[in-house]
Amino acid sequence: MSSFIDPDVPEELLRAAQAGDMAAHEALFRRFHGPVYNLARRMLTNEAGAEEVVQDTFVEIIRKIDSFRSESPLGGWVRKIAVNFSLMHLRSAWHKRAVPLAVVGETQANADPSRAGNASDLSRALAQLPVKTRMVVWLHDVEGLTHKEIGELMGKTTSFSKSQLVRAHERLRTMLTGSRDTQPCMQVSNSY
Amino acid sequence: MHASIEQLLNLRDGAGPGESALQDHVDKCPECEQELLRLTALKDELRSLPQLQPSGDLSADSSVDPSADQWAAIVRRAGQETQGARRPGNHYWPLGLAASLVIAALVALLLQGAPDDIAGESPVTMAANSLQTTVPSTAAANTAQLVAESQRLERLLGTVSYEPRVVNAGTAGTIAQLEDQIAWVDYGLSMGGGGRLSASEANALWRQRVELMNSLVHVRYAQAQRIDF
Repeated sequence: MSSFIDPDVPEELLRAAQAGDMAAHEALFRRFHGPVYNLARRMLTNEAGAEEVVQDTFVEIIRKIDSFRSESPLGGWVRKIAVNFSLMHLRSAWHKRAVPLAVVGETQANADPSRAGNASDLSRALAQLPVKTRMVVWLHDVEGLTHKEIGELMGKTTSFSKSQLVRAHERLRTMLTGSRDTQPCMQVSNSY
Repeated sequence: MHASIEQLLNLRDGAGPGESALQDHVDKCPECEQELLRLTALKDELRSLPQLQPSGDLSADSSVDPSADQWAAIVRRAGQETQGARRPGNHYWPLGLAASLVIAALVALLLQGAPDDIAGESPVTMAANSLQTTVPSTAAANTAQLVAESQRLERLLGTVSYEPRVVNAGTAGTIAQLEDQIAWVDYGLSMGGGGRLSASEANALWRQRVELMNSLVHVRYAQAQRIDF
């Protein structure tokens, strides 16, 4: 489940940050820097880029928090900024020429040893997906965004997001099970 | 007959048409049921992946919190930027205009070097044809038309994605500058969602995006054209 949304940030902390209280901003940083780093690292697959996104995101939060309207959760707003900076980083020439380190040497917190093998395989497979495909599957399946929201964030259509999710699951199936297609290729009619 | 991944994903996420008919099929088909269970389990596994954390400096004192340094750096940067550094949405309009003029001149120079006679149906040729027939006149376009044009240009860019191993420094700089500007426009658009941008502001941003995308496609086209025989 997305770690951006739950639990809520106390109203008084938000008000203090909006009034420019840097101690409140630091509390927000402590609350959200883990999720922001994790999101950026999963999208970018490299540590340096993820740390840059963390910095960019929190500088932006300091600058823009007075424009935040609390009808929606603060975590969703923070996530949107982090996704935007991740996208900007992915567009940059530096990132395009960088060699992704994938999950090699990653430091994992809260790891359950009994799941370590599966998680490691899945992390590796995820990191090997094409960038946009990886972003869509992460934003949809983990962060819980709708295809419409993902399309808007990425400057694409809803159907782009849907098709990338299908592509992601096809590729993950191939990578994780070693088979291209475990079923006959006949499709159920679209009349459902 | 079996359900496709798309249909099963729709069923998993409760988002597809004809859900009950598909559910009936899955209930009777062990293979589809198995595949649906696999997709559901995979979603759970993705959500259960451990939260990644920075590895930090392994030689450093473990009692030192690495995030403290990061926070200090953020505060320093925020302080510097409030003293007048670049802001998305504030200073990038004149910057974008000036850069667009420079880029337009560079694009013209790059296109001068491209051969006029294009043969065959390579992706570059198809992109060239698309450019020749549909470069938009954005001045009077409404926002929906600009969004559609922006999406068309994104698709077009995908057809000229070839990047040569050796890139002219000026071309690379132009491309990087265009990509940066597009990223800032995207940032402005996505942060201005939910009614924070007026219709005219949104239209202006989308117009700028189309113009930048158009320049980027031209530069990429010219770059690829030189090696597309």
